[in-house]
Amino acid sequence: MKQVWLLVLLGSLAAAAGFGVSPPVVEATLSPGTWAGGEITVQSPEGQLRLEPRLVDWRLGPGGELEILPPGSLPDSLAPFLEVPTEPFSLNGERRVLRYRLGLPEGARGCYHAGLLLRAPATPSTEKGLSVRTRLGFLVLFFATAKGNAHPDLRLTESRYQGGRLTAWIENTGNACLHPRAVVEALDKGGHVIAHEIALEDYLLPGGVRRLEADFPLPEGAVALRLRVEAAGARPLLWEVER
Amino acid sequence: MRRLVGVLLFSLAASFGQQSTLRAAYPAYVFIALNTGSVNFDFTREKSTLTRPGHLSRLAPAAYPTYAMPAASAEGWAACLGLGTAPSGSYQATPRPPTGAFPRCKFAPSEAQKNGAFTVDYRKTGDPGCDGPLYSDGDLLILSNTRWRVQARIVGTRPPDGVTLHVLPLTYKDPTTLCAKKPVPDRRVRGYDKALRQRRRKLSDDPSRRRSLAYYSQYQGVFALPLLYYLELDLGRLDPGLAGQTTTVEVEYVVRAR
Repeated sequence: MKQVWLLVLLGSLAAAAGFGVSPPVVEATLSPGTWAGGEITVQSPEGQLRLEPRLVDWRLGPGGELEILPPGSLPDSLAPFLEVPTEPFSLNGERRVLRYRLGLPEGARGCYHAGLLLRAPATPSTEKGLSVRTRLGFLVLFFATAKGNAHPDLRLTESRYQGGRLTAWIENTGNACLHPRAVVEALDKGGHVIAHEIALEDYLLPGGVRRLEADFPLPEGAVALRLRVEAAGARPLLWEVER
Repeated sequence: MRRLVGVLLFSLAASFGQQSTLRAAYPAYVFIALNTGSVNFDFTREKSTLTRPGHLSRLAPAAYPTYAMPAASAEGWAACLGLGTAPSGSYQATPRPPTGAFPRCKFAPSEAQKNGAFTVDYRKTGDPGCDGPLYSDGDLLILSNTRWRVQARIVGTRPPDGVTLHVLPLTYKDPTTLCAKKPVPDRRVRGYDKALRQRRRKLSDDPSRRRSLAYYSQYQGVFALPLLYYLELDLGRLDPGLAGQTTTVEVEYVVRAR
């Protein structure tokens, strides 16, 4: 089970405020017109913590920047079909189960997404004499994909390799929410991979573009560089350049 | 079934010679214990297999049924990370006098320690590399067994007129190097150099956006292993003009899986 724990340190670990969330991502494949349900567990390791859950839309910028929007802002928002508790609640070292229901409307096509933003209140502290208020939030990502009509498709719109630096743009040209993994590889004369590095691993929403940048000087013995982008269901992308 | 991750937080009102019982938050295959106190502990769990304290990148199981768990001031406030069979039940931690047994740092027991009270006392003596607090206010600790990305934004009060606000919100620190004789550059820390990648936008160089509230900084953890990351909020690059002024900056961290 995937989990994420967060702690903001406030002068001391003893005064830390934090919580854990599991699972951090909910992915469902549904027939249009149907609903499903599940649970998210939130836990505070100790001390009292008040959390404010908020249903939101979200999208990512070309650099992976998270933009949080009011629910229903996006055409492929899952928010109208996602039922989550939004009443603030307090934790005092115990677990809290948040039950959700998500569905897809009749005629739904592709992928819909939304998020549940769990925010702790801003806590005051000081940093080098400056008053700092720190607020901690965790965004649980929700994806619902319409069964049978999602078309995962990726496109490499631009790529160049200059001075040991690879720059490429990847576009999600289908209607599925993808999680592409881009690997830069150095190839020897025989076409064998002698070095590699993961350049990207993140979500890419339909219509979204992602800038990929990797400092990857070719090692000795390498004659070519290859960029390989893969995402579940989509045709893999390959781009190769010789030294 | 993926590994479960649990966090065991030590926040004991411990006194010397007295045993304290700690309970895991819930049964887990992997756990991390944070000793938040200023008292060293001998940490024991029956039939456990644990990695050595502080070696967060070494996940290979090894049998350490009992080991010394340093106080928070030691190099392992993320003191132990273990793999083993699903532990349940209670854990025993026995406070022991701070003997300076940890390899690089010597500890001077505080008055509170002598008196048996729990405090958080990060001051150490005898080693310049160990001076000062291990972290400062507003820092963020992330324990995750999935890849994540955090975005820090300045969302609150703008800096006063004429003052440029430089913020480098998050810096990665490897807890195993915190007490090194000399500071170890993050990039030289084996296994961690690629653990965290960062993107910074220095909007302060753009006059039109200098006072923008949209400043953000992004960092990501690249491992799907249960690892602990420590991210430091650093407002140290403030314009000197800001020093001493009563200005509040609000920082918002938003963490998501990636």
